[in-house]
Amino acid sequence: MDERTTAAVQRYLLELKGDTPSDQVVRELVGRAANRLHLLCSSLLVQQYPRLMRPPLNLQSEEMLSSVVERLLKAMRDFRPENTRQFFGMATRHMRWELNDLARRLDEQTRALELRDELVASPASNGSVLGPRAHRMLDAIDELPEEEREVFDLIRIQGMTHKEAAELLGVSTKTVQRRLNGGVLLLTEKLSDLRPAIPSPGA
Amino acid sequence: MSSQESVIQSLLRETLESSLSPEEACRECPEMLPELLSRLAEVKRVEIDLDAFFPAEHVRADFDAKGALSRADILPRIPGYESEATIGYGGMGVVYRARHLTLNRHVAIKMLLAGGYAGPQELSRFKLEAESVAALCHPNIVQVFDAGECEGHPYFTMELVEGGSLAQTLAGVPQPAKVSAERVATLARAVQFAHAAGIVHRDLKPSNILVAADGTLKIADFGLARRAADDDSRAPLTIPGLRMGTPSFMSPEQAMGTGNAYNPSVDIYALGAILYELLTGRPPFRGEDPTETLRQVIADEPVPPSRLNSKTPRDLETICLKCLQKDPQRRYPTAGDLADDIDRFLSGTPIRARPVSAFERSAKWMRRRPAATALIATLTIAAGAAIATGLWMQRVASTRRTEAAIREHGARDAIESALSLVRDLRGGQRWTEAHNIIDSATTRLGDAASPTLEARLAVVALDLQTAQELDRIRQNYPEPAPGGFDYISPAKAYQALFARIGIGGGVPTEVAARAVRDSAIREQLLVALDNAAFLALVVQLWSDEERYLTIARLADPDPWRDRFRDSKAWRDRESLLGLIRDARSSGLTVPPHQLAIIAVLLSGLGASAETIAILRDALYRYPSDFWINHELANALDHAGQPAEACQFHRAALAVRPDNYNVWNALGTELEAAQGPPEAIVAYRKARDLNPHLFDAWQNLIRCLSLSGRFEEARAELGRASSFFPDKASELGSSRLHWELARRFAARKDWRASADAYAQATQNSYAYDGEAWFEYTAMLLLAGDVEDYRRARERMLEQSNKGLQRPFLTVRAYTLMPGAVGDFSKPAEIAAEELQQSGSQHWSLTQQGAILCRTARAGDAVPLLERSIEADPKPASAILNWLWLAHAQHLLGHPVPARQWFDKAASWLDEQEAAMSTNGWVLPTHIHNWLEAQILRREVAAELGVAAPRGGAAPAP
Repeated sequence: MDERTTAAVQRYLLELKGDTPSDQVVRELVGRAANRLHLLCSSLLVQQYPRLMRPPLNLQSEEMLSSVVERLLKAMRDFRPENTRQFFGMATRHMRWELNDLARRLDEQTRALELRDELVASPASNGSVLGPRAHRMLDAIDELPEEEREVFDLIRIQGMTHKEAAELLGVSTKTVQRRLNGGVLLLTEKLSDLRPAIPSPGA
Repeated sequence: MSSQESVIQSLLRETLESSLSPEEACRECPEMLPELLSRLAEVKRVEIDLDAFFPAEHVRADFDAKGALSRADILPRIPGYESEATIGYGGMGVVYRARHLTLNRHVAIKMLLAGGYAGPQELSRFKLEAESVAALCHPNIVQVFDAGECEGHPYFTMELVEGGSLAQTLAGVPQPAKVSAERVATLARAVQFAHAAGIVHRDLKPSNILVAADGTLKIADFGLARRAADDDSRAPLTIPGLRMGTPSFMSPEQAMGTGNAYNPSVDIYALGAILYELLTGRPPFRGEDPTETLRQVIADEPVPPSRLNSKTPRDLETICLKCLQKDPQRRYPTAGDLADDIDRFLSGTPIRARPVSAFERSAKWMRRRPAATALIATLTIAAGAAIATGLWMQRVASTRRTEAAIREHGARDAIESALSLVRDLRGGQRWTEAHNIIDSATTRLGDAASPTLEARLAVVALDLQTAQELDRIRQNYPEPAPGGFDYISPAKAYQALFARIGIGGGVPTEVAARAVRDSAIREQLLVALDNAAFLALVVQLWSDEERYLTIARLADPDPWRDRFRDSKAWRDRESLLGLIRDARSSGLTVPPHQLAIIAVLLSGLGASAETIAILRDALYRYPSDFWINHELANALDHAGQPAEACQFHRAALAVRPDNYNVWNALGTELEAAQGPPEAIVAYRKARDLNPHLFDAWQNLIRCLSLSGRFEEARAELGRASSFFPDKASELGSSRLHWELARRFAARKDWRASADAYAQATQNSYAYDGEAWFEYTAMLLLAGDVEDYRRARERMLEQSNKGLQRPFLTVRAYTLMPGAVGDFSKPAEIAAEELQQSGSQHWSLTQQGAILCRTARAGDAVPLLERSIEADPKPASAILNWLWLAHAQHLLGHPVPARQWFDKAASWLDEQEAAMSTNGWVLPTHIHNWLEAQILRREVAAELGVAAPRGGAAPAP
């Protein structure tokens, strides 16, 4: 469906060189971000909340996702970026907000579902909640230092290659890789409590 | 950061950024290697998570929206593990070979596939059980490491044993007695070890016994697999159709579903069956299909192993057959005892088990086949006589007859045991299995050559069909129907079925009652009679109701049930409550259907709290019953607890997802509990399932309008109009226009708003005072004074007829100054309402407004000031500030007038500035806001202040 990111971004960069982007280019950029957001949301839904898509909720993912994407389009509609970097910064911020919001809503739905399970099955237990993993992860990403977050956003959220991100930021791919690793290390630290400790060998 | 920590951090970065292996990175500080490896594994885990959340673009191509695991060839992503390959499939799921990232060792991961969507209860129970199994450390038990859930599928990880299973090793070849004995002794010791830890396997069979590379036997799937499969009342963890697996190694008590499957003796039986297979190359029982095997397990005695393999030592055969005793009490008391006895056999000392004596064996046989015994005795004597007389031919003929007789009686025996099995299965509503048993029994009717048996089998088959049909009627009502639920069809279905089985209308009640009492499906018929009586009441077939209750009373006399089966009691709240009370105090268990009937009757009689309590009680015992969930949701909704009602309607939908009325009801509950946007999906679902459901369209369009999704609302309205061409306004076009009007109003597009209000007030809201008040205000703001006057006169008319709130009418009048006489009529009709709420802020404001408009501004001031005291919030007080400014101006006090005005103007400006960024949400109630716009304009003109932006000034 999409063109490969490389080609698309190359073209944007070319068209944008020097002067303010035309409406046409912004529309295409927004369209690309919307597609990417759609993919991330459906992945979140399927990976983390598969139960919500089955009975009794039969969550209609398309319905939910289209409203998420619609909001992104709305938020970006009147935005006139001065360069691609600014555009991606803004778009990614909105995309993370939307993901966060979706995760929160899904958590609520899951809780509702679990409440039902409890009522129906046996009332005495406090069944474990699927866990606010998605939520926690998004929060932790939010808290990354500026440089690490920007690289993370471009690679993970916008789905760019290292080369594209490097070009956009005007740094080397090695720097991109270094910031990316730094981000993952910080995330690992922040999220370490999400899992039970695994005994390390020799300990 | 400690120095060690900073070293680790830089080592981590170094390893991640370069192509160095951890070992190379740690060349100079080998003591850091373990810590580095563990940290790297953690990073890897986070990266796996990140990959799952933020997939690369190309992942989309093979992205399966239904969950990657629906295709088993896709390796699962389990945190902490790297899946490498699929190594096997089974009834339960898939087994993967994987590497534990931290410990860097290989494990097997068994993932239960169809078990996705197991509830948190089952998952936590599954995990608990895995933990207890993980605690079992024994060389002959496959070590379980941990358990978890991946994408909704429970899994557990275990020791990887790569030599295949015992079933594969044996391949139907008998093993030497000594080897067989040693193997079973080893297994029995392992089983004993587990039993001592309180864990029963329940599914021991050669395919569950793995053979390590060095030949060590290891028992797999302790407790875990079977546990899930037993519990098929909820989410079965097996793939449908494979539930039974092979029952060859299943104990008779498990096969019948009667015994306690957690009893260790089931494992002892299975060990005996495994010994049998080792010795003979085949399991003790093996029918053509699982149903036949099941029947043999329950009813037949195993052929002694020595008949199949003459090398079987007599003592080992005795040990084997003792394990295979039908009665668990007669098997070895523990697996340890079994192991000990085998050891005695191996060491050549006398074993403890005693062979079943020839007498006992024949006695057992005769008990189960009395007719055959007598016949064979006769034939044997005859054959003996024939040999004695040397008549060879006769002897051959008689031998053939003997064989035929044995075949015939074998068949009869099989049919007899099938008949009793069917009765048990029917009681448990296991329809498919019961039908299978009947089918396989039918094939043996020819051999049995017994008209009596044939007739009995036919009766049982008919009864089974009837019971199943009764169950189906009960499970299926109430079916949805436009405008409500259909109780007539099930009532008629009961009528027809009763007629068919000879207890229908026209048959005297005593005769019908006797037929019910004597029927093999008496219990099912009684439940059906109660339910049919209830349906007859609902659809007002009074005579049927009376008749069904009478038949049930006569067929099943009992003091409590006689009181229940009384049509007068069904119409009397106190009697029904008394029934529940008495059942509780005497510890009587009331069947769920009777509880549900009582609850629904009580709900009709206005006892909603009791209804809810009773239905909750019934639900604990019958959690997946559609009807009870549905009625409980209704009762909760009526009791004003829509949020709770949602839960039960969702449960009802889990049972029957196609019931559009329940979707619609769920929508109304969601709308009440969480607001219109949350209800849209449910209404849409209802509408999709039945596009002729007017309510669903109406609700959907309303919710879309209220959620500000006007374009969608308009589109839905267009689609709905094709189904209901004459009902546009009822479908929600009025609501849509009203919401649009408000939206235009918030953006101060007065003309567009007024036009939308004109549409909104034409049909559904023609008598709605609020819509009309907003409409009048908007006409004034739009400068359309003529229409404003007409609109307020129409409001006055409606109020005169008592169709609209007079407060809103007089308020519409005071929006514009006029002659004193203009206000006398509306003020007069509103006086009573204003008086009744005399101390409320809104009443005080309006009284002040009337005084201002009728040249009594001096009297207005104290009332307006009291109104501010009654509710000082700016959103309410804004009108008082403006009316006070106006009053002070009329009284010739320009300074306070200007002060009040400035206060109001600055608050309004501040709020409106915020509106453009918060999605045009009004800072106050729309009525107050509209009135404030009008007053501000008027007072600004009076005080000579520049008019606020937006909108045209009213025409003079």
